[in-house]
Amino acid sequence: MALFKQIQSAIDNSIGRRRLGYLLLGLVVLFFLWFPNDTSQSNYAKTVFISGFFYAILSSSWAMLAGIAGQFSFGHMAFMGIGAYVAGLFARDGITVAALGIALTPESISAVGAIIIGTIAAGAVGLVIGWLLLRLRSSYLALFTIAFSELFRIAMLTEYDFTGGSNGLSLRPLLEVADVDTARQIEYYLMFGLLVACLLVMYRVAHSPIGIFLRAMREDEDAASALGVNVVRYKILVFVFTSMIVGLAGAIFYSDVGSERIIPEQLEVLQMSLIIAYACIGGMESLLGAAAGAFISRYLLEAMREVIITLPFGLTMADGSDAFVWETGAWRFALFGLVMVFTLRYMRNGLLFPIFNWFSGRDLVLKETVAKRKHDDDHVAMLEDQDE
Amino acid sequence: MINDASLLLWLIAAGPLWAAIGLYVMPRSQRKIKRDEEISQSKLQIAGLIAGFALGPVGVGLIYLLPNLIRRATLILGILIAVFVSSQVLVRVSDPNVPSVMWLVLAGPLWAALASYFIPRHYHEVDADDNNALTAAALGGFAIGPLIFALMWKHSPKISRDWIIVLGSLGAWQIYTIFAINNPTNPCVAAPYHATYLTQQTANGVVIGTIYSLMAVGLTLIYSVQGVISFAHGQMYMIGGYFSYYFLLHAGNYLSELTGAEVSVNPIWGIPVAGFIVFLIGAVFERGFLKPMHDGLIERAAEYAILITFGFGFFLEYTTLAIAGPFPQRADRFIEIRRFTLQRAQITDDFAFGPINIIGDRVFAMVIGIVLIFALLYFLQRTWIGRGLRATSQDKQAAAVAGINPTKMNTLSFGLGSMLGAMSGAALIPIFAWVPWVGAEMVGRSYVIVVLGGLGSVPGALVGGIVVGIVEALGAGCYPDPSKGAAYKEAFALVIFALVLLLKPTGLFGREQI
Repeated sequence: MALFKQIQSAIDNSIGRRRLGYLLLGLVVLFFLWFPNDTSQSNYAKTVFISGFFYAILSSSWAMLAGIAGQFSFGHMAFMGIGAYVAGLFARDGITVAALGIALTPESISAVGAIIIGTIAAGAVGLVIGWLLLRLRSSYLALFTIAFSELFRIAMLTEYDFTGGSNGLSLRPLLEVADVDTARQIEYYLMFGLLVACLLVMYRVAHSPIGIFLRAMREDEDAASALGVNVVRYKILVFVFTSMIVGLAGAIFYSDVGSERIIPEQLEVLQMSLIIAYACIGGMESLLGAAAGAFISRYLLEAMREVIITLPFGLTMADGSDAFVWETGAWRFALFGLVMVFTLRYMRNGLLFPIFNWFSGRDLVLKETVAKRKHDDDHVAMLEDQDE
Repeated sequence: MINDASLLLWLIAAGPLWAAIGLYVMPRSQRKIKRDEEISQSKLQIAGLIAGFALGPVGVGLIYLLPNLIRRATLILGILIAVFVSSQVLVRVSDPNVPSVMWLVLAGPLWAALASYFIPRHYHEVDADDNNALTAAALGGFAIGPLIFALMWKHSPKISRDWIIVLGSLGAWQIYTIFAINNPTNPCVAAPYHATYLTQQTANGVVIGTIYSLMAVGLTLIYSVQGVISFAHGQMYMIGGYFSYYFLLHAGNYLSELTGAEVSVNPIWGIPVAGFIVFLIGAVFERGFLKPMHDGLIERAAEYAILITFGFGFFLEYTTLAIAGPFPQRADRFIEIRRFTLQRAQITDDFAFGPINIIGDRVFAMVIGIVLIFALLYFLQRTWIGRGLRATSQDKQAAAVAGINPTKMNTLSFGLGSMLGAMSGAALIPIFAWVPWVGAEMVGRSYVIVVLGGLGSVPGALVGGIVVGIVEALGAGCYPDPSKGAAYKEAFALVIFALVLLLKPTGLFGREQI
């Protein structure tokens, strides 16, 4: 402990914690930029990273919606699915509006065009859903979004002659690179770039006046409304904004970047619960925390598929090998659920919060809230004393 | 008759164009209105928009010259739009067999949207009791078309539950009519067997719905005392089934060893065992994770409750998957009787009910469900602890003053609620194939049931369960494409769910206490 104090004061006196934090963040980004050039890494590792980036986008945008704006939506995966499905259907079938003389054949639509259409569609549905949700709060909102997401999944699964059913729907490939290694490298940078861009945009929004309005709305909708925050506008806005982000991410990821087809199984409530768990573990009220939580959890879950423990002291297993191999199967998810529950109970701000807190050099927890509660407790204790 | 293409062009191009013009010019008609009766800008704009869309240049001109019409005009214009768009529907889908007046009524969703927009506003304007007005307007618009305006506009009556039941039944009849017209070979509408088929499906629905409601009653009990919707309820149901299954397996093996003969234990014994174990799990979880919330140690308690129960369900589901594996399991049957049969009843020569068959085990599970629900009602109404639970659900502070420990009641309610979920799981494992994710599907149904019946109401959960059972059975049985009908089974209930949440979030029997 004394050593830690010494190191802490040494850092405070030299470059300062904040600058050290930025430095480390820069190093992390550099590592991610360098990673695909490491020839010793297999394409599999890159694929794991690509899907890690994808889940980081989903998770951090959910953190924006639930952690910052306080809208506990379980329909996030459905919006992702809308982006991907609309892009896929549009690129496959084209669109014809005879009355307006519009006739777009599938050949005339590029992959990028389809992705843009998918993103817009996700935003439009987000607008409608956000508007419908104005009447509902917390638990009711969660239930409604579960219903919406399940309806969407069932429809995609059942209308198989249109959407491909459980076989899924192929989107138009975004990249046309023959060489697998090069393709994987480009996909890697594409997804990483998308993650960084999404995080920057969301960070910008969260730290603008809009972000303050959203937080005010989260704390107390009526009070915020009374103080002049246009609750209707910002509630719908945050839905449209996050829906468009996940719609974009979904449309790009399934355009043969991370996965070659979107299947309805991806839209299950279980997948949604993974996103929520990532965000809770990483820190629901911090965009970077949620993204990092998703990436790290994703990586660890992948790494824990098979746990191999080399036995010490010359011990051997029954078959004579000196390694204990444990096929973790579903246990890793069970453990993950346990971690989530305990994180929520004892570290509400996520497991990464102490690190962020230390680097920030000041307490990120709102002092006023804590002080007020302490004051209230004192007040009650005082009254009780008087009674006696 | 105007030909098809030009009509469409009129709709797509001309309507919005005139609407835009109306939107632009209307605010400038303010000077025509007497000073003391000023109409707000937005109202003028909306009127211009609607008039332009419905009647084109005529509408814009009329409303510009006579803006005082607006006060009466919203209704008239709404009906005009509806007539206009309905006539579109008429031209598009007209069928020589259907009288054209029918199509006006058949444009149900359109009328529902119109009525649910205008009628509650009218109620608000005339300062009538607008409780349930939105629900009745939407249902009525769907069921009886423009007639709902005639019923609700002039006197703006107070809407009782009877109104909703009558209008809802008419709406169901409406759907049936649409089926009959569009899909005459459907087993639900094709004589002479449709009556038998419908009764058979309804009976199946009632039986399975009663079983559903047992699980939903647990959810509603937790909500009414704690104000928390348990997102782990589906997993409680699932582990209830597994506890029963493993208990029966091991007890059977043990008894076989003891007696030397092949013994199998009746699955009814699994129900109390599973109930007891899950009661303990629920109570411990409540003590550890929900109690701090009631003690005020946690900020934003509502969100915390959603996430913590959700996380616990996640943990239970994967732990079960790791232990039990993904392979479907099923317990033995309750009773040897395969099915109960109600004999055929011939009413006229070509109209008959029956024979109706119901699987014996389902009837048995339904009886268990009913017995347990009545036992719970007895417990809540007649015992001291049950009264304590009800008192806590009504007013925590007052209950505490009267000497009821709210902390204990919270723990008890979560344990009891989870126990009911587990018991319905144990009652259903002889009927359904059991896999670890069976709870996720089932819990969706219980949300539908509790919201439909009204969160916190035990009789509501019973009625809601039966309604959901019937809707699922009829929906799956009557959907035009049978294979898709089965796949959409859950979706029918979810549609009702979404509508109830939007139109009447308090449900049919909505009260805040048990």
